[in-house]
Amino acid sequence: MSLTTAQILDLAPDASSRKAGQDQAKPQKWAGLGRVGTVIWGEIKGSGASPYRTVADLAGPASKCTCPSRKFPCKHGLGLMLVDAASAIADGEPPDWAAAWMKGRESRAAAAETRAKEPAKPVDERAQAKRRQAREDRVGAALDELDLWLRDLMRRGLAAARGEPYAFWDRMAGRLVDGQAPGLARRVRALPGLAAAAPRPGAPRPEAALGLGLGRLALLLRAARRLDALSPEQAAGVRAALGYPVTAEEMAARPDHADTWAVLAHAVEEEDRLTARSVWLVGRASGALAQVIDYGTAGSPLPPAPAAGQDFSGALAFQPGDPPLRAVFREGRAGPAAQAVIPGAASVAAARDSFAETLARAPWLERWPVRLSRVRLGRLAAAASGGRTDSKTGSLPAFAAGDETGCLALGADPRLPSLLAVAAGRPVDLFGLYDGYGLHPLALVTGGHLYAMPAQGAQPVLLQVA
Amino acid sequence: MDAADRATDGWEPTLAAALLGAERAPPSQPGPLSALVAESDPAGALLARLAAEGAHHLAGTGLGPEALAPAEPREAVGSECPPAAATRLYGLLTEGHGARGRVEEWFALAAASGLRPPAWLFQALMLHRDSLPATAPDVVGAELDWLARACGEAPAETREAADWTEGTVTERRAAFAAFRARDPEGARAALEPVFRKEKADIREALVHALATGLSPADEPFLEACLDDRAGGVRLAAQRLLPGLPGSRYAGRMAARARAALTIESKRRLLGGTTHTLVVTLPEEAPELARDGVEVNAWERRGGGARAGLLRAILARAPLHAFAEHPPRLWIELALRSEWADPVFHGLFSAAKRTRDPAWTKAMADITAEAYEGKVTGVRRTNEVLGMWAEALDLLPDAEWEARVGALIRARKIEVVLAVLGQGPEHFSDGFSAGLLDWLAFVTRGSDALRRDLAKPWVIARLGDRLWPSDDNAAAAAALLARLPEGEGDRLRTQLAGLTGVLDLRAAIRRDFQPETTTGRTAQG
Repeated sequence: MSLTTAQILDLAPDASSRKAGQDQAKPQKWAGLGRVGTVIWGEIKGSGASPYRTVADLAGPASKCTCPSRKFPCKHGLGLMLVDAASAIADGEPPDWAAAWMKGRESRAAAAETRAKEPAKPVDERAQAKRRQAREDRVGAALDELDLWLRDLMRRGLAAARGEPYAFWDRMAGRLVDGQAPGLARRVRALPGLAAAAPRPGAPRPEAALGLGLGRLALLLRAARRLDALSPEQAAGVRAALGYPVTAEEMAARPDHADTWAVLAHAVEEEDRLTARSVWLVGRASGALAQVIDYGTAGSPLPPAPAAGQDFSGALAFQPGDPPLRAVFREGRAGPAAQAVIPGAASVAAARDSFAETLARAPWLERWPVRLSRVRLGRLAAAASGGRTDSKTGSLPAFAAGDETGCLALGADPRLPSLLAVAAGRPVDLFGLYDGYGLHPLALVTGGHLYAMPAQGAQPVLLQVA
Repeated sequence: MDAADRATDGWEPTLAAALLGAERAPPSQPGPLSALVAESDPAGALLARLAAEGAHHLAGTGLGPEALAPAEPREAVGSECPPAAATRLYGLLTEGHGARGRVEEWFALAAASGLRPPAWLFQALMLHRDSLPATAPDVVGAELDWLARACGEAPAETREAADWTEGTVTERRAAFAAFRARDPEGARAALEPVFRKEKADIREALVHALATGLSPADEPFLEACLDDRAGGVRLAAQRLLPGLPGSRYAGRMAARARAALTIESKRRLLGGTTHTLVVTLPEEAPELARDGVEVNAWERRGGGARAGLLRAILARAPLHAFAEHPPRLWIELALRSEWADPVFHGLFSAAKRTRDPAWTKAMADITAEAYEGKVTGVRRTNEVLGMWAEALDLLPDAEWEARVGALIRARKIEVVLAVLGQGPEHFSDGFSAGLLDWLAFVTRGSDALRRDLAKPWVIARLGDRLWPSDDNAAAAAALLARLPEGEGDRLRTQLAGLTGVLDLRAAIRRDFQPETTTGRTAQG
């Protein structure tokens, strides 16, 4: 298996290491290049006294380097992979250090497996129950407080609330964090941003966005108060939205969903000091959607995941929730895509229906993935945006995607012109997240190729990944 | 954008009520969702209404198919460049200003092979549109125009046949130059009647614009400009007039040059003739100042103020003023004379203006002989070497390469280093290979040779000028690899710069050769 240059460049943590990695991608800078299977290695002279030893596994993709850079992957790792992408490195006998790394990886994987198989430590049932009860109590208190706060907001009116400083919202979010409901805290912290945002195409007006956000909070609050009335899956979904973690025992009991999962796109978001990476997958046989979220910090890099445009043949386990979306990787391996299509893509009307159905099941959802088949991209006709909205959108062009059954506005994104350029005015398949107002595209299929939005940074290009 | 106007949707009134607050909002109208609200507290009831109507509204938003104005399909004009070339271009674009020369090269290659960048690059190209090279519109112009239209931008105005009588100074100058290029006579005829009414800066710009399509017919007008009120206009006319050898201005300069320089021939007793150059330094005069020859009070180089006047006169004189003797003789005598520097440089400027082949060739020959000590009475100094390098630079590129190639084969290191600072922008393949061989020879030589090589700092810049073939890039890389360990940083840095640039240029060319790429994939 091999990665394309574009895919490797997208692994870079930032623009400067992307460029630095390209600088290292010259075979003459490297010594002792070699490979065994998907593992490649080489030595490169850096500013240190002795050459850096770099080894990378393309199947991960993962890499290790002796340079002191704290970026991951470092420019040498990127450069090594780029050298291989330009022309495949020849097979060779691994030197000690490369062999040691491969062995270490194998033994770590084996250790993780044995740890998973080991019988769990005896648990103190009573202490656990006590802890659980204590958390329930704290969350219950936080819910009461949020309810009171929301009612107070409604009494005073949203027009007054829009003038509140950030500290007003942050205080409530902080109390929810104390009350061990981080999911609610995140939603509350997002409210001032919604209220203060400039009007943009593909998004509700700021006051409407605030109203919708408060409405979702109220619905979630209500559902959390009546967990007993919900089905177990729905209740689990509500608990996840409140911010209860899913325990390892719970996950271990979840069934496997084996399929050939097409990796459509990666999306990376920075959430205070955390890097959250979503991998979006669609089952080629089942048509099921899955989102695998991994978190990385400065100290611990993101775990390896199949790149956009690859196929993950194996099993996913879905976290409890209704409708199911969040998942984790189980056994399986990544390989080249069988076919550049978006499985389960349908017309705009069908996508809108499925979004409404999803809302009916979980009305507090903020965004939901949609798949559109053979839509054309273009601008919203002036008549459609109407005199009122048009004046508010100002000079920003309002883009949309649609077919003969209707159209969806596209959420503002600086990379939309690239999307339009690649579509070239012809019908394309589109994958993105829909929030009821705007579609935020992540991947596009045209002419037998899959193009993905770059996961990181605001590069004004699309990546052809398959 | 939102389908709020639909009668069945209770969202807008509910949002209005929520904005006002439960204390001030009017009681709700009964609607299909009001049954869901069971709270007694008005604030709680409003919150429940907001939540229910919001979810209902979100599930029903959307636009009809008529709301979309689809982008017109883009017809593919040519075939796409290989993916490697596209990735390379994106890398060069992100590199910014430093890589502009390489971007230019990329577009030149694309234009030559008729290939176009892929669609995923269009937006990046659009963002760099103002800084793209002049060949870019041929390669990607149609696509970028299409994208601009699809994004709803106003099409770029085409200012053809703009009116030269209106606008800012630069606009008027550009428009007048275009007019002049179409119809030189008509443009001057149109300018003459209105010229005196224009402001000084406009007059100056328009006279400068006369450089396009300059012909003897412009002479009376330019001569009149020498008496203009504005110094800038006078200066512009003084710049243009030496380019007209038949003008009154050139005649005056020729007369002054002949007065200043004469060759006296004495017949020797045993046959043959000796020639001596008699130099009469000119005096400062108002007529000279009118023609742009003025004393520089701070002139120190080459013998003082009056020597400066002499150089200025010779530089503006037409070459036919020196027609009574062959160029060779003039230059040889100039080098030997007491006033070698002003006379040589004056003649050099005159020859440079016209690029007269006889004169440039003679200059290159004589300076070469002088530096080799074959001209009696002329010492081998660095000034002579500098004159040699300048004289060689006047020659056509092929001739320059032939002569410098001979010097390289003769292993004249200090001369080659001196002349490499000038010369053609791009070397031919054969010359590049020879130069690289020579560099290999010098870098393998003694420490002193390597020091000499590093000193003038010309090696690093060669990367832009050498012929970018794979062989040459490999030769340059070998140079760097074989550089002895412990060699000072100066030479290593310069060679690394050369290798890096040459490698990149060779790689850009390789990207455009699909045969090799496909061949490799077929094997692997």
